[in-house]
Amino acid sequence: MTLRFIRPETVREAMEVLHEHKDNSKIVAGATDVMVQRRSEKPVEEKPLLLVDITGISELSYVNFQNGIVRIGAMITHRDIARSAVIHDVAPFFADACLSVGSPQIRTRGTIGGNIVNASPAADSLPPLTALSARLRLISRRGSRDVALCDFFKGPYKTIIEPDEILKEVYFRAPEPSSRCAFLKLGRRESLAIARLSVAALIDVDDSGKISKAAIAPGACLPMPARIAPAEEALVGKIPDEEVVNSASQEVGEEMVRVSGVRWSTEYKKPVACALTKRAIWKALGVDVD
Amino acid sequence: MKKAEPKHKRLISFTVNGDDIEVEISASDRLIDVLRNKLRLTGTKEGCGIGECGACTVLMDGAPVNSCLVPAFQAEGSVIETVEGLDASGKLHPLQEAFVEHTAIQCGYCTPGMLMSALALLREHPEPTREEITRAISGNLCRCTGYHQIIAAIEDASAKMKTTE
Repeated sequence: MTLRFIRPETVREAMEVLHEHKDNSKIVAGATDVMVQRRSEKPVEEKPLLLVDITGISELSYVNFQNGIVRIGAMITHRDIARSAVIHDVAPFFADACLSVGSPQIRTRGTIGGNIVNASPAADSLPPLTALSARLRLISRRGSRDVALCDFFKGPYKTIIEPDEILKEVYFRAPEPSSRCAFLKLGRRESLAIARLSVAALIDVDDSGKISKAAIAPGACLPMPARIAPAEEALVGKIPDEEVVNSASQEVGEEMVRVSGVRWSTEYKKPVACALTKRAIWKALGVDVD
Repeated sequence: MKKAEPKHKRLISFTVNGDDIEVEISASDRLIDVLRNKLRLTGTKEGCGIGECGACTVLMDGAPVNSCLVPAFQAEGSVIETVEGLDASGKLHPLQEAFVEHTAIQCGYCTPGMLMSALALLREHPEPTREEITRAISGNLCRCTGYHQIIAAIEDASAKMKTTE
């Protein structure tokens, strides 16, 4: 096994390296997933591999907010997002989600780009980004392309990114200032816990008290990130009361079973998905419930 | 533009506890391997090796990281602080004194990592709330103490560091 590394300092340089070594390279950012994955690999099966470390590319580290669009460079860490005034202002549930990732140590290193490309169904950053209808920009020597976050995933840990491509940024339109959001995560413990379930809710209520927009995106219960249209339809146009919120929440549990099938955990996860969604919706609406 | 070449081994330089060092690393080395095996800084402990226990916590450019998850090549040009740096003056750091006084150590394996997480916290928040303390050490597992003594020690160190300023 020959393992080599390279640390390009510019995006252009990284694209050249990936173009030249596309058959045997792997991008490394915060390395919090790569290092764990490498540990469990069987050395005999390893091919020569080139680790392309992109953490030295300063042009991929930015949070911009211009013309209503928030753009986050792929090398921004979970710690950066959790501390970003812009993110706290426009999408606080995204900051909450990033603050729930792993531990302070993991958040220091782990990047938003890595969290997206690793494509774990339990990734904490993905439900809020899904609710925000985020889009991604992928770049390579061949050019650049933009894709909707939801179209980026093919399945658990599988994406459409090509071996010569780099995720440059994730971007989304800032929600209306009147909108409210919440992210809730349920893990086996408070810290260092992979989400058993999570829910992001983004809701706007009009002057008459009716819900005008709703985006509900659960995590860790679907093979890949998705909004739950039936749950959103159950909310939009209604004045939120217990019945409305309960029926919307029920849809999340139903959708989980429709998409993921009945599993050993369904008996637990289905009611919990409904309950967590209900709490997330009420939290977004500013109502405390237990 | 200088073009980087893929390397298997390379000489990298970084700062450890205030000293500029240069060390040959290979692509598969982790920061903890370099610290413990090449620099003989064995105060940093390896627990789980997958970033879950925090025993290997060191500060990288002032922020806590799991040194078992940092590829050594990423340390190039960085400022690393390990537990050995705490008493570099020959005197225990107030955090170390407080850990001893409060019996915040039983088996001691988590202590170096716990101290480094606490140090990062106190630098940023010299007077942390109890919640800030628990959050700051949330990436460090301790299977002996039940954490209360550790939290009390950090509170005490914060108070002592304030009065000595």
